[in-house]
Amino acid sequence: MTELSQATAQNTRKDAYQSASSRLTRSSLLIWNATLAVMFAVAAAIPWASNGLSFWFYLLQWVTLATAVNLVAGLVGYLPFGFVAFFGIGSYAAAVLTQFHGVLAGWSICGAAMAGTVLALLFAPTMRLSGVFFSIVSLSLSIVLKSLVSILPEHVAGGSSGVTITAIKDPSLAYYLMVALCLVSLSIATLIAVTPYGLRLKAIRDDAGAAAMIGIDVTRLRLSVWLLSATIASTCGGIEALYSSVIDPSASFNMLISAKAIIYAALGGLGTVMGPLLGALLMSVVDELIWARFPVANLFILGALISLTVLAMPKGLIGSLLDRHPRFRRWLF
Amino acid sequence: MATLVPNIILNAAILGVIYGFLGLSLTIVYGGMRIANLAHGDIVVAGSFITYALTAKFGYSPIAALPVAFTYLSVLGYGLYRIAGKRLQNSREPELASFLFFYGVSLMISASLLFVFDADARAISFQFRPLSFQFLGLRVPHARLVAAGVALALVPVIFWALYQTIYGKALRGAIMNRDALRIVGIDIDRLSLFAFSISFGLAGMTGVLIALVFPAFSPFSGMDYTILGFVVIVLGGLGSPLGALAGGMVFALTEQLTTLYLGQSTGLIAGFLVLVAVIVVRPAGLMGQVEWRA
Amino acid sequence: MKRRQFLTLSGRAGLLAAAANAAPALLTRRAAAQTRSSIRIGMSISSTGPFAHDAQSGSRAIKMWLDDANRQGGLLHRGRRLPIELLIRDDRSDKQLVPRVYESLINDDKIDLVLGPYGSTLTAAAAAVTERYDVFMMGWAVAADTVFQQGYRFIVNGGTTPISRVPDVPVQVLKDVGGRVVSTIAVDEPYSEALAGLIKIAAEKRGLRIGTMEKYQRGARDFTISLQKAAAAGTDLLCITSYDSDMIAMLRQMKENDINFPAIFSGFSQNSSILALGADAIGLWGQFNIDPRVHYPVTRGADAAGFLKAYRATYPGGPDPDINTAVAYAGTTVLGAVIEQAADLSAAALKRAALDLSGKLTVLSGTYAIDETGQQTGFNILVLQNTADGRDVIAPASVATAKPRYPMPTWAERA
Repeated sequence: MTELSQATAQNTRKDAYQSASSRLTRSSLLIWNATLAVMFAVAAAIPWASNGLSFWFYLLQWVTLATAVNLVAGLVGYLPFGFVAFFGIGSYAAAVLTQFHGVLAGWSICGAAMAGTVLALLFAPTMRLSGVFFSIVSLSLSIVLKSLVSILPEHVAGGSSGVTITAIKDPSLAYYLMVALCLVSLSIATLIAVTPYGLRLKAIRDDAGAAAMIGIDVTRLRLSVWLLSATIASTCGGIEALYSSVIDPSASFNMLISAKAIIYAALGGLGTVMGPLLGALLMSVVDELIWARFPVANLFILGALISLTVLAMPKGLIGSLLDRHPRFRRWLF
Repeated sequence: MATLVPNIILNAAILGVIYGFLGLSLTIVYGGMRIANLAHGDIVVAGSFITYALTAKFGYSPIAALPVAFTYLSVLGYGLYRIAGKRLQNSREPELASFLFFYGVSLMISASLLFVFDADARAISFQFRPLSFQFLGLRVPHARLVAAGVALALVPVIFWALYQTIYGKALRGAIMNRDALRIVGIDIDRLSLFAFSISFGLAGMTGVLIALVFPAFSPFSGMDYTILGFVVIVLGGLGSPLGALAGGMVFALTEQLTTLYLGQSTGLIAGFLVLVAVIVVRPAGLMGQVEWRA
Repeated sequence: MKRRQFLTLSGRAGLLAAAANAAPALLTRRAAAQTRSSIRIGMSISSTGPFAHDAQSGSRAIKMWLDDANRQGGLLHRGRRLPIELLIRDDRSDKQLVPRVYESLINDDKIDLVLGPYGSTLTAAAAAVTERYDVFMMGWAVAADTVFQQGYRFIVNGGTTPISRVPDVPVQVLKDVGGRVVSTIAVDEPYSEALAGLIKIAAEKRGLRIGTMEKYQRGARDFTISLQKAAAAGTDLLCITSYDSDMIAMLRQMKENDINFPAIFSGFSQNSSILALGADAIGLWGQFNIDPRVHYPVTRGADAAGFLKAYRATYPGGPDPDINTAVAYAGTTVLGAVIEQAADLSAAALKRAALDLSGKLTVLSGTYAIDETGQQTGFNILVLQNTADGRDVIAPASVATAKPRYPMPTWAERA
């Protein structure tokens, strides 16, 4: 009996893999990987080619955060308004370890990653909630966390003045770490998309009950994605702390970080791999353009742009393009 | 400090009514249409600025701002629903789409307020006479009493509209089961348009009341009120008008008592922790009947 | 067919990526100045966000300084007058945007030196970049002492009194008039909290008692309880170190609940938003750095009276000048002196000049002096008290124009 069900499970897995991979031909994957490789070769060369690292650093940061939030929002269907909690805890872990305990940059980033994982485990029970309940509880927890961090004594976490990292003068290490993290998060997203893992996640998002019925371990799968996404975000926060070298509670736990990550991912297309990348790239450039050109009206234009894009393309750039032209399905995912 | 307790409970009750009123207009839209109006707080702040303009520039009483704010902002709501409402509701994930759309709207509103009123903090200088009332050793500011009074007078009207009129019944029906309403032949679009405009108007009136209680505001305080509104309705139970009031009360009482005993910085933390605790114990909120699924 | 489709598609994607990459660089890049025909100064001002109002108050004075200097043909540099080009960018009060703005000013706009953004938080973020590129920064609104404890080499505070030296003045006034208990109310932000902590130290140093030290989160609206607690603790001097909008709410809540304090001190007491409260603002103690009745032997730029007159002429009907306007004028006036003193415009030469000028330059807000870290040690603050028809200088004693009215009128007395 068990053997039989195992065999069936194996079959489903195989079918799932085949259906996923038949959608994406080998060549399309090759192209995607090649594009990624070229992009990251360019990103790695930036410090030689350009003097202004910050634009590129934050571009990569937004791609990473949008990709990470997409794992939870696009693949599991949770909208974490308090996603910044992970980013913030990572920032603080890295800054406190580096500045107050003299830990080397590399290890403090590991600390940041671990802090995110632990926090995600602590917050895991909130996944019982759904819809706006989850979102608001997540937001509340991030606000509580921010307050707790600023209440901590100054020698522990800097109080509300935050922490200034003086140990690291050269930001290029943090830049390369961000390049690496961005590449890793995009690769993880790609891997999830082409393996049955992703298909099962989508099944959960569409109907958790039905997914459980066909033998998917809903809780475990959700939890693993949740941990993965949180860990990426906290690592990202840690690297940002090393890069900017000045952190404080209101900046590290700024709600705008959650909002921007979600918006970038959603405008590009939630649940796709390319969407968050495209969304973050386009919006960063658009932001830069209107910020420089329209000093008075920039907020208004940004708002109008977001609203109009949602109305015109409710599934984001990639999602809506695929709806209209399903033949691109092979190339865009 | 014990001598402060009765006064604080009275104060919390007044704030609770205002918080509840803030949630009430939000829950009509979210519960009925699953539109997450992220611009709710900005509408509220717009209502406060209308009050400021009327009292400071034209010397009217803030009470006169109530109908004005209601009219202007329900027209704005009408317009927004006409432009976006149907599309948002028909999209595959109305919550997400409306979250993004109204985030954009929120940016546009605060940018417009910034343009018209500058970044300065504005304050309503109008004062009621006498400034406060004293009875049984308690002191209540006149303005807060007026604000709570207006809210308490409007709540029965809203409840009557929701529970006694055919529109209200249909709307509450929509909170429970949208599709069933469509089947029985109710024009959901017209109903939604109506409810949406009313909700915006009520949010504007909330702004007037909030200007009475908290007389200083800036174009960027909108997000604070949006969060507060959502916290209150999630705490009380989505789509439950009575729950919104209960949620407001619980939140205000927690916040005020913690402030008294532990200090103001823990007040807000306690409020949010109570929310988390309530939701973990009762995922549908204090008075919610339906547990929403994503 | 498929292949062609793919080729066009990937070609387009490539173009898009290239365009996306190139856009920001093309947008701001300009040809570098070949021979020096001007002095290029970069800075950022917040158009939106929590610092917008204060930053814009400052920027009005900076524009006055710029027009003044350029009307005379610019600043004297190596025996030649060079016009000043001021490049102002927007930082939206965003700490993450500031490094990008200053990087772009340095790399794309090829500025010679920079003026800081508004506030200690943003200045610290900008300093991380300017130090990396060895660019001199004149900070004008950087009051936090911590910024100068990071080992930065090329940042100088030419505008404002550091917060560590603010509390002594009002607390001494309280002691002089016989008050005993000091309480603070602060928002959980660096400047506000640091100031509250320093007030506590200043009070304890003088043997005064601390009543309550309340801290609240940004966005809090109801301060009634905190105020009642402070009053119950017998507070003589309440120090409000947070935003002016919160202070408006606090004053209203004090009035409505008839909570009285003999003295209230806040950096915002002379802001137009507080003065607009009319009778409710009478008696408040505030922090200011200039007053037309306080004369310093000014060696450069306008004195306080002259500055206020010029401001009125430049911005008729505009917003009242506040402390940030005066601070910005002081900072830019000092910067002008530093540039004229410097051998060249390298960061090291400018810092050298800034140190050389220390103690030898008097501007509208007093004598400028810095220590090796660049932190201001000169400028003293004035404590002003609002009166029915203006304001009195009540401290320091050497320049006071009136005795403090202590206790200030209760709410009942005002009505």
